[in-house]
Amino acid sequence: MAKVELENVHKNYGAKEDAVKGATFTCEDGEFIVLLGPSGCGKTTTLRMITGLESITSGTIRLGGRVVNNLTPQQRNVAMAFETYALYPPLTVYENIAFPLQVMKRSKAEIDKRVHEVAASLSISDILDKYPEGLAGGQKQRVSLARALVREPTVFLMDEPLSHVDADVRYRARAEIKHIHTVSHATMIYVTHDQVEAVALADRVVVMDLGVIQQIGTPLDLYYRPANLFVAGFIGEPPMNLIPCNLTLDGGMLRASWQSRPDLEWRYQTENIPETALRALQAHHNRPVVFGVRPQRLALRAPDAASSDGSLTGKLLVHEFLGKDGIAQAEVDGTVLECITAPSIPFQAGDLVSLSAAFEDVLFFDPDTTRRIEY
Amino acid sequence: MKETKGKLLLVYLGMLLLGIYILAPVTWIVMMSFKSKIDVISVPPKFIFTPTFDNYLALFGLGKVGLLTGTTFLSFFKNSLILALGSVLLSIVLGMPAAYAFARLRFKAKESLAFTFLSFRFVPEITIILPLYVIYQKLNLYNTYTGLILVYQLISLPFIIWMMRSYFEEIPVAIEQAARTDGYSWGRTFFRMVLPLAAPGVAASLVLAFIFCWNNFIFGLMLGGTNTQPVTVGLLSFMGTNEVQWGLMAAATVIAVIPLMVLALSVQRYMVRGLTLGAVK
Repeated sequence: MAKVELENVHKNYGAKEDAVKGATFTCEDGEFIVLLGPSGCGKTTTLRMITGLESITSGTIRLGGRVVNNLTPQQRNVAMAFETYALYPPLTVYENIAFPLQVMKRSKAEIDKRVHEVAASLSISDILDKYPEGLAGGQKQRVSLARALVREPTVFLMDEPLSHVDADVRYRARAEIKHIHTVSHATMIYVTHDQVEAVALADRVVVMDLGVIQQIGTPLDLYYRPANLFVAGFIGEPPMNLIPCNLTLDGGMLRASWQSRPDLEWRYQTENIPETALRALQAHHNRPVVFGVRPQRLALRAPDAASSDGSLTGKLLVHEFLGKDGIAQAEVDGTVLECITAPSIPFQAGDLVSLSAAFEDVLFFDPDTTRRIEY
Repeated sequence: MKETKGKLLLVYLGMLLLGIYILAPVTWIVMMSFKSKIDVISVPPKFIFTPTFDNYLALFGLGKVGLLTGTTFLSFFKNSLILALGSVLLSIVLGMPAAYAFARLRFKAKESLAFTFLSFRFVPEITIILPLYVIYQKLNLYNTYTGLILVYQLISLPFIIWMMRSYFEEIPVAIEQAARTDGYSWGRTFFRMVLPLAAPGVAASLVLAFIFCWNNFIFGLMLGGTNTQPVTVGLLSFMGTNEVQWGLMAAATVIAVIPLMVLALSVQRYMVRGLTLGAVK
């Protein structure tokens, strides 16, 4: 296994805009990196450039320290699991898994041993004689993983391998991939548009949008310290509540008043705010900001508590029971805020409630640069 | 229930009429090929007659029933085989890579180029035959196999490109990419993975192209001489100034059709699919 390095990699398909604009990141030896983004963000193109299925317009890709820009997939010794599995229809499952080893001209005995090992580890030993056509989605996906795993490549690439697997077995398949990684210590790069998958699997996530890398970080980083508005809105289920406000900082009070209704404001006493935060926010005094708070950190309380720091009064629209918790939607002046609550709450739809967020759970973004104001 | 039975009867009646319509000429030709000279031209036509193999024997030079000697007919038959096979072979060599490129690669003016190839089929052959005749005379291509095989590309090449393209497009790209990541070179991927998967389609397009070439008349008539003319043109020689040798002509037609029948039946299953696919895409 090896380290994968991308340095300012561009891809242009002949259109005005590059499909990938200067991707730079490193996947350490044995690390699990997930490329995450909406469709058309360039994540699959990036993966295919690492594989060698797509040429690089400019930049450098290194596998294990070796520049591979102009090498064929064959010469790069990478393995890839495809979204559509891409099993070879005329071959049996056994022959499919054995295929990469046969191409490498390994001995029959070795091939047989490896295929059976891999098949056992993915519990597909019983279908080795079958043809791909007759298999269920989950089985096909395992066969395609087995075919990639069998050859001990420098890096293991996966292009949305779970998107066609039935929902009820997907989480198990996901756990299997994570397990494979834990056991094999393989360097893995995994592409998905599903943030739940990304957060569940990755050591680090590379978030992409419109061909640009938005943020590289651990799932926790992305969640609590999103670099910009895109990441804040993309990561987390339900997404972060984002409200355009105007920021003022005087008279011992930080106020983020709503742009739509200046009399509505999130208020915090400056004495409870850390010095560094105050200094950073001072620069945005009297300027627009975007106020962000995760639904998990927005507390729903009885309205009489509304006088405290960082709270607003709204009307409860709907509350859904989700088993281990609940999700509530509350309206404040036409804006719907979402918050995660206890499984059941002592309010009815239509009741007035107080929505409050502690200062340490609140993020501020600069609407001009879309970046989070760091402190 | 009664109504559906009545409907069914109508359907069968329609099918019967259609069958008669399609099979009558074929039956007629086959019957004619077994008739003696007198029986062929008798009015009203005879449906019951004493069959004779004279016409067939004559074609193979085993008897002498008329103007044409058997060896000439066999050479026409041979010409047809050379021309049709040669044309299809050349079309595969040129058309298969083209079809693959149209199916898989991105390049400028791709669709316009593909359409240009298709447009070769739109032009009525008769409109280009005179200039071609002049050109062929000058280039010494007149009355040569090479010349005819080249002009037959107008028939077979667009056909092969468009049909094979649709077959290549049907094969998921991911399979090729997987084979390449697994260590196959591009060429090996094409010949060992793509081609076997596309094989039924490829076979069907080849057979159809062969049939179209075989059936062509005008190119052989105008651009070939007796040395190179195919059987379709050769049939004309049974029409003399004094008499038309209907019996021989019929026998020759039957023989000329046999290779096509055998080919068509052998790939019938894929042909319908290929034709409709080609039509849609």
